[in-house]
Amino acid sequence: MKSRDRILDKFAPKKKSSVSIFSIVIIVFLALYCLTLITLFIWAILASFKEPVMEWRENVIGLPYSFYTDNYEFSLGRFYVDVTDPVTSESIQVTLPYMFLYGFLYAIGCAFAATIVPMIVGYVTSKYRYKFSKVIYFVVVIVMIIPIVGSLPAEIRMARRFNLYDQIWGMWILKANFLGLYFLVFYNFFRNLPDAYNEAAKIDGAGNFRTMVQVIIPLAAPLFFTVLLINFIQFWNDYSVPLIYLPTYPTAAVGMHQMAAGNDKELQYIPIKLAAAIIMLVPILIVFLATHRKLLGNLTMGGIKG
Amino acid sequence: MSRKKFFSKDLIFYVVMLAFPVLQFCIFYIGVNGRSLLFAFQTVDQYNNATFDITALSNAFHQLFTKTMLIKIGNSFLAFLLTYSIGTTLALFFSYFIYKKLAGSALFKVFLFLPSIISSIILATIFHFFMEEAVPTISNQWFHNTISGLMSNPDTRFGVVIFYNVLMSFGTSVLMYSNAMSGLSNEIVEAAKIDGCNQFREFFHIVLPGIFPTITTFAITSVAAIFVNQLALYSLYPGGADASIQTIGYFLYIETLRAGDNQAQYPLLCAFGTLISLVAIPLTILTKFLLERFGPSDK
Repeated sequence: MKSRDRILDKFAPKKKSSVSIFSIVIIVFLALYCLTLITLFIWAILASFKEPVMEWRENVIGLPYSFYTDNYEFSLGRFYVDVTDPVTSESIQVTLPYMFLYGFLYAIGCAFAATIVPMIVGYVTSKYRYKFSKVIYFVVVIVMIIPIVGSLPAEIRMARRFNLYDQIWGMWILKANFLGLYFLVFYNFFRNLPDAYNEAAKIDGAGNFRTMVQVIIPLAAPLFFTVLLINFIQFWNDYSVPLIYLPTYPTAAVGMHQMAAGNDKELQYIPIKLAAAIIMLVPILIVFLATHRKLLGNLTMGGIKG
Repeated sequence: MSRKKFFSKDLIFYVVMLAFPVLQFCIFYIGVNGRSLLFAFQTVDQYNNATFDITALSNAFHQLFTKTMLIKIGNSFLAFLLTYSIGTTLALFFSYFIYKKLAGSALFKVFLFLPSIISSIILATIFHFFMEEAVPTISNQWFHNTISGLMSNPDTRFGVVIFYNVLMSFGTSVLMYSNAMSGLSNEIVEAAKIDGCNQFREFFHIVLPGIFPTITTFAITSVAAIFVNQLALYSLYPGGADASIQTIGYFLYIETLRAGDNQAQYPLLCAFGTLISLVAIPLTILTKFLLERFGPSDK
């Protein structure tokens, strides 16, 4: 039997190889891209283990003479940000555990707000065909194509007026908007979802809210968690917004920025700064490796109509 | 229409669900941008008292045509053209590779998304020191060619910043493009294959037209962000980027940061923003029009 299969295989028309010149060119670019990233990370890891004064002067690109772990100890010890208490005007030292806590609260709250709001608005406007739904869609498109530059000072003033400035929960409210690409992602998802789900739930006696919570949201759960994760990572890594809006709640990203930009003489050594960068890199890398299958899942977005 | 029908359960649910998002939008989009526009026509004294006049707008208008500001505007355009054209072309090729599930595509997908999950300040710190310290050392030790750090060399720094931005740009775009490609009809692709269509033709004649709406959306958001894009300069140059490579986005952010609580500075910044918006808005609308007019049709 096996020999018959072999003979048949021999005379079968040869399968066209999926490797073409076109795909080889892409592979070359991809390989160069990966090589660049790998080189950067390996160099940074090796450099972070070098003695920061004498060895660094003569050995910038080679292997470390001995794995000098003091850089990590020193970075961890100096990982703090001095802030001024707005009430007492006293200087307070915010240490790494607190920066991680502030960073986590900022990222999880903002990510949740920036995901749930576009999801609900996307669901309601795609399934309830009132004229106002078209207005909302139109507003999202208009906001995307009408860029308004330089409104940051006015936003800071508005945040102060509503007592949202320098409050982590205040940032959650600021980020709870439905504008942007993720509205289109959710809108597209719900619009392609058959109305039969809503109709069946209605026949079974479920109200609008129950239908949304118990039928529709579970269907959108994978997409919701993908967007939530992407948003979480973006907010965790963001230092430019907390730097302006949260002066007394420095996040871990702000701490890293202060360390990179700071004028502290002891922190001027490159291996110490690189050790700090590697310390900051580890937690988010663990989150990514644990969730990358979910993160790189089905995220599709159509075009803009209107 | 009876009162009972008008206030149906559907309508009540609809209103309740949209109440907060709409209120948030009214305050933090319409309110903020309205206030920004108002600031452009005001002067604020040291006690934060605002009075109407056009000094800020007039000053911003005159400063806009100075050499330093024209350089920032030029940099914003040039950075957009280079990062968008190179970044999008490569992103589309990479997405096609992932869509076709060619050898190693799962690993490449992880690598392409990696820069998006790492804080820009971490990547920028590593990248900055690599270009400043490692590259000159490699050039000197391996090729006996003495060069200065690429981030501080006036001849190379803008190019290196563009290279960094392209390198970091693939995450979300590759994810969106490859997923959009997965949504293409298999029958069309298979039919083209039977007709002898190779990968090159498949990419240009079937895949690109098929995902054109997604390309359009990304193009519009990229054009809209021309004057908001900071080019990661604040991360790459924590001590401050040289004026010759600054963009409008970086300039406005850094000046707002410097202004801090000093609201007297806000009118000039908002006036700059208002004037720049007058350029950005028609540009984005024109892009949308051109892409819809000359892009591949659905029919």
